[in-house]
Amino acid sequence: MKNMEREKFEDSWKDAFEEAGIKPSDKVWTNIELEMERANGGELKRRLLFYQMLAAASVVFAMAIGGIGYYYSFKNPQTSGSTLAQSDVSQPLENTIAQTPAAERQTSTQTPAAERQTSAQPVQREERSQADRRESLPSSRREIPPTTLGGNNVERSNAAVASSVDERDLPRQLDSRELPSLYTHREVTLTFAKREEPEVDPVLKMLADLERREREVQTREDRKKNEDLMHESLWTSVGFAAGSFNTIQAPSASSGSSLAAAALAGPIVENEAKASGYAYSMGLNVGTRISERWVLQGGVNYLTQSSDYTANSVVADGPGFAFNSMSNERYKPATSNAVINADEYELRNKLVYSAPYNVNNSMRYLSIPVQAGYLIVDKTLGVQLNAGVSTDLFLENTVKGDGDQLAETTVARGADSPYRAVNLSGLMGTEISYRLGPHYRVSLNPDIRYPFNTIYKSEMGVQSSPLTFDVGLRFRYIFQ
Amino acid sequence: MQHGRTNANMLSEQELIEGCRKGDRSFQQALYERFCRKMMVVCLRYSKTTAEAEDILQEGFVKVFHALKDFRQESKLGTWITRIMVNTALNSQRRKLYLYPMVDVEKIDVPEDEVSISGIHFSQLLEIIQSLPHGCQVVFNLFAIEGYNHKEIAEMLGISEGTSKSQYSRARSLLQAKLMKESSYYEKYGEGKV
Repeated sequence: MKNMEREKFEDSWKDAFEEAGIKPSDKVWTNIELEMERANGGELKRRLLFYQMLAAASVVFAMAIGGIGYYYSFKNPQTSGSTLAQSDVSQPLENTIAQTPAAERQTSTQTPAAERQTSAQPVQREERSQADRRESLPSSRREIPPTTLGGNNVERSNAAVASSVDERDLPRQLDSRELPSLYTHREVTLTFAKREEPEVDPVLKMLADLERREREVQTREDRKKNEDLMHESLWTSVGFAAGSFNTIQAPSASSGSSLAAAALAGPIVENEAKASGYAYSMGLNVGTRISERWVLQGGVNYLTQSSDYTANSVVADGPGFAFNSMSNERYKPATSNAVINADEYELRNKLVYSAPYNVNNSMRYLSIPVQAGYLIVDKTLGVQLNAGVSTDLFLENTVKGDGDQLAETTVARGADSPYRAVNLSGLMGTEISYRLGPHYRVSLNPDIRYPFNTIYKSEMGVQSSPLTFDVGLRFRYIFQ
Repeated sequence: MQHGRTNANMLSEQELIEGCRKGDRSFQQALYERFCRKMMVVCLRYSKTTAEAEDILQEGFVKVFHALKDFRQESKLGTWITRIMVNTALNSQRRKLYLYPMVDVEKIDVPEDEVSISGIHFSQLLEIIQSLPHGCQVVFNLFAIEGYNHKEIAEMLGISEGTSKSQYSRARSLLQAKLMKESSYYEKYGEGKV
């Protein structure tokens, strides 16, 4: 029963798709055609090559035949003429020229064998060929006087020959036969073959079209592949940065409740607020692409700013007279508007002036940056401009003097700390990166950080906004 | 085109086959026009997106045209083309099946009360099939719609018979859950969604 139900279930699915149909896009057939042409292309090309070779051979053959024909039709008359001249000079033509028409006719009707035995044989042949040519010329040509024809006209009368020709004139006349005047009047027309546009072979054209289309498709696919590879939409990065900071706002005494503290702290606070130092940070960031060229990045960084300055007093604290640096005690701000309250009075009693000594102050923040980036170059090598803000949460600071008897003091955020708990800083930087593979990119990040407000609490009476310049190195993992 | 869209249906299968065997492009197009819609559904059943299905369809038809000379006509042309499409789809999906290997799943209780699919449009069913995990999708198609048994499926996919069965059970369970959801939607909003 259960099996029957199962079969029913499967049959219902089978039936649901029995008559189903969805039209695919037109590009599918175009691509199929392209694939088929590509497959047939090889065979077609081989066949085409055979026909091309055949055509080339035909052209070569035709040119060879044409060349031979040209050689015989244009070169032979001249060579015959020279032969004729040579023959005429070497052999007396008296017999031939003095021939009677009857004899001439006899000569013309001689068998080829007999002709070959005749001493004036070349001349006669030449005469015949020229006579034949004259037959084909217009009648006006045939009326050219015999003198202009030299001794070639065998049809002239015996009398004319007898009166005009004697033995001494023969060489001159024969010379004139070397360049028959007939040729000088010959109208030679040169007909140039009309240049025809080469007829395009439709199969070749089709193959060329297909090849072009194939190249286009290939290029598009390559570009798409490249774009897919290069298009980074979500990534995370770890990195660290090191740099230095300078305080660009001079400290100034404040009014009101902070006067006492400022007066108490005096030059020490001033020194600290002016101090420059080094900044280090490390953290984790994430980024996403919000458009073709724009990215959004954020993260969490642990930031340390360390500076050195000089102090000249210490505080004797506790029964064991442990000395604290002055810097620590002056952190306690005034509790009222009184110039000197009880705490300050106590502090003054503990204060011991000493030789100048070096104090190191390390401030630690948790920085939460949010930056927008513009991709100037988005290739394997990337160049990006970043700008944004960072919320810096003050964690703690540690003060340590360089003397052995001075205790290290750490003050966390809160009422005892002279520093503001939260600062807002502006960030600006560049990111020069290189893609190492489909999922990795390494980058160098020169950055500038500048707090929009003083890092000290207002009651401290000093102002300080350290401008930090650092260079970071980040390793990015690209999710997609 | 000599045998374009309008004449494609007038040609007999034998004429189509003969024309295609001669390499006549118009006959090939006629054959394509006749079967492409049905085959597109087959390809969609084995893929997740339309683009993926079209790739399979394209590759499949090229194979069809090349293999037609060897087609012995022991089965109907449509059945033979469907088989080629299914094989092409399986080849295409095999890589994904390796990425998401099929494993035996715990015993799944298929609800006794099967939700009927009658009245649900095939495009809706197609969407449900496409939403299944890769392994379930392939096994369900092969078993329920193509009619292969688990032994054949196991051989085709290089998995055990048990895995095929468990994947099919999982597919049925997931389908039932989705159909239940759909039917409750119909009850609430009527047939308008389809």
